[in-house]
Amino acid sequence: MSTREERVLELAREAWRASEPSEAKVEIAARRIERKLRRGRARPARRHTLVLAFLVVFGGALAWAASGGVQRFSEGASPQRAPALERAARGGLGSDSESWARRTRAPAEHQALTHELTQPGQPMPEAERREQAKPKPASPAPAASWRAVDEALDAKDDARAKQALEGLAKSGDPTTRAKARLGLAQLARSKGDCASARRIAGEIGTMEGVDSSVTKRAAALVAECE
Amino acid sequence: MSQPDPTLLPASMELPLLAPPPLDRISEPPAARSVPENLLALLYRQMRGLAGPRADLDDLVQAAAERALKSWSRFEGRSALSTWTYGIAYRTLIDHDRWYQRWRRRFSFDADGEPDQPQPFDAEGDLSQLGRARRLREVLDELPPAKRAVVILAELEGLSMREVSEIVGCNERTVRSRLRDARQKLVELLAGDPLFQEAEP
Repeated sequence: MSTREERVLELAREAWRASEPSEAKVEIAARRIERKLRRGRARPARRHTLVLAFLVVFGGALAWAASGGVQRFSEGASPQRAPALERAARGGLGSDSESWARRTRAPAEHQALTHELTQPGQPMPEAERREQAKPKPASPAPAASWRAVDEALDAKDDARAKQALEGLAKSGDPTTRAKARLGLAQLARSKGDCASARRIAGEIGTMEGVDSSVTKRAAALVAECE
Repeated sequence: MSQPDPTLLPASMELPLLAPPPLDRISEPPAARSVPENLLALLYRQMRGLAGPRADLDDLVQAAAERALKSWSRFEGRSALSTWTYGIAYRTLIDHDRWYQRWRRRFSFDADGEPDQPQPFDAEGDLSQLGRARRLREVLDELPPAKRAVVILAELEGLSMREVSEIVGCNERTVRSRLRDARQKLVELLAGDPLFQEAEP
């Protein structure tokens, strides 16, 4: 490296040092961010909620196991269900066997079982059987993740992107929710639907705990989309 | 047991950085070590260096601080605190900019208030220094993020190759190669600028 280039780098280092903020400015900024951080962090509360939810689920599971749920489940899961059906029939419809059957069997199978229990010995009407045997359309669960949004956008599949964004808009994190809503607003704008875009982006301004960069983008979208 | 030399810390940092924890404290359970008081100030200074004085600087520092607090229990003190926080600041910035670029690719943010617009420079000193600082930031912003970070850390902040490679998560060879390219580009762009054409000493 030549002397001249060294000199340029030296001047750059000097300029760099001169542009560093003063101690006081850094302190003020640190305090400002600390205040934001305290406002924005609700982790202990979230942790308590998780612990409480775990206790409720665990308690429920214990109660279920204590009431003989495990035994009933293992009987229900075995391929030979006849003894269980007989026991259920003997127990009558008032017992919890019906709800157990509803929980552990597919809807069509549950209907057949109910029919067998209420009208023993009588065959199920053919039309009803056919109706129940029809495969129900499976509703695909939308994968709500930014990867899913990315993939959908890359594939130019706006409907799937919208579905994924709507999933993300229900996230527990306010910034993720706001980013997803901003994405929905942008999608609407890209289709020329400025009214929806403005409405969705306008809602971001009323949300709390949202990253300011997202709010600014939302405000800009509201301003520019006419 | 000898104390690590605190002079190994970057000279350009005025902040009273905590010295790396003494070796006998490393065996202490990490959770037992309290978070240093100057963590936010340190992150602010580092993020400002890496990202420049931009409008969403506070948000970036906040995000980095959240990451740092979350992973504080995993900080084992093997590297200096400032190296560890620099790594967090770097990753936060890269992640944020990637997110921003992704949305920018898909949607035009041509008139969106430009959240990444540089704020007015608050350099203290004479006007020529102020002008140079502003021009330097402009030139740095023209570099790709990975090269920009390397040239800032190694050339302007004066960190060692080992520290830089730890911060950016690459091996030293890659860092050297990036630094060579970035330095060349930086000199190329600055050498033609009247502000950097002072009489040679």
